[in-house]
Amino acid sequence: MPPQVSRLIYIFATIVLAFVATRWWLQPDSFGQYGHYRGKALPAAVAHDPSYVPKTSCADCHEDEAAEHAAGPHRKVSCQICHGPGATHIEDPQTTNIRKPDVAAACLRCHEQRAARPARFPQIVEADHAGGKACNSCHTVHNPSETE
Amino acid sequence: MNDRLYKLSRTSPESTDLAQTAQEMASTTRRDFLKTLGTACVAIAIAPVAEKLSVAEAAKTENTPAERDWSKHKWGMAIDVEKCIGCGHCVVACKEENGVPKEPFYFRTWIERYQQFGDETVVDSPNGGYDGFPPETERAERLDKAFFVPKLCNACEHSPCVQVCPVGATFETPDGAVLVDPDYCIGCRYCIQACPYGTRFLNPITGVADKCTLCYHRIHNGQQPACVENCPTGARLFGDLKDQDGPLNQFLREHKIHVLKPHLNTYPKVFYSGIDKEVR
Ligand code: SF4
Ligand code: SF4
Repeated sequence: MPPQVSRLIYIFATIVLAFVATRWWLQPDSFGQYGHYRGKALPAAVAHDPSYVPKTSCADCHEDEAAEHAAGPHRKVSCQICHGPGATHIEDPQTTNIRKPDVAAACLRCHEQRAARPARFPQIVEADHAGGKACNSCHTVHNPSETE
Repeated sequence: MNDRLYKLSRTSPESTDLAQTAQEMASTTRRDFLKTLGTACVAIAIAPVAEKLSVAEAAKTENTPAERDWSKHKWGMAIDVEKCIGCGHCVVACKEENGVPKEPFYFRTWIERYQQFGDETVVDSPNGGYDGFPPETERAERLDKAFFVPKLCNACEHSPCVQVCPVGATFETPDGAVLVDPDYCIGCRYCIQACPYGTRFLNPITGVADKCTLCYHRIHNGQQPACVENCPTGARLFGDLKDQDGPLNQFLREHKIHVLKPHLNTYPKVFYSGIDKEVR
């Protein structure tokens, strides 16, 4: 083989080898396990704990409130919508690590009238409905269909 | 120092010893130092290789990652626009669950309000609906129609964001969620540009692309995504498209379904029912 040809072959082989080696070195080890990405990213994505606990967990301790809530129109509404995420509270039940909602704001957030809300959804114009009285001066908070 | 010792060595035999010891000490330290340096260099070069080899070994013996079947499901979501009341509890829940920054321009999910005045459509989304929606006072008497539309990553089957990622950090999981690998994302923002639904952002805390994961950590631990669980009206329905008799497929059968921007052929797995032609 003429030297100018073999020289070219050597150079080419070196480049290819360098490319393969670099690629092998830089590529994360689980790359390509499931597709064109790092397979280890999947277990990493599920590794952290949720901050919203399962809906049913609250009833484990707060039986009375849960029973009241289950009898009312909000039975499908999760406790944590008003009270905030419960993971820290479940680990260490304190009054400080769970939210005590501002009742008026919590009710009106869903029930104050908005044109964009579906017509069949129960809505009020707060000024006409209660004239500034607190919602819970008439309604029981956990079962608001009952009025006191 | 050595010079001084050398001079001293010429004055007394005792100091000659001293000088020799000192010189020896100096040279051995230098040699040692060079040795250590060399070893360190080699170690640094070899470390990833060794790690790779040991990982390969480990992979052979124990079957990591933890015996999960990632392809058992095909996750999707259905949104019943006619049930959404724009309360924004989903937006709050999403931010709480996923540590999304509270500033009003970072959202994994958000609510849009569409208002139609004759031919004109006005869309607003104050703070993504995080604080609920203010009344439609302006021109309210001329309002023809109004409704809320929850938005999130559409978990596209042919996702533009995955196609553009130069390092394979954005990917579709075997069960249909589109995720970002935070350890490999280089923050180049290509995917943010590529997503036709504007669902991605650069997380200012982590410095990498961020987006809805369908609450991947929740759904793989038997829970619903936070937005679904915290929707008081059941406007969002999460489920498995592979489960033929499951609630999601049942919903898709029973309703007229639309996806966003179908002309882009992204094949979203977020399905909307009761959506108007204005919604993009
Ligand atoms: S909606 Fe955007 S971020 Fe989600 S998969 Fe599609 S292109 Fe990617
Ligand atoms: S929580 Fe449900 S009803 Fe409220 S804004 Fe979100 S999707 Fe709509």
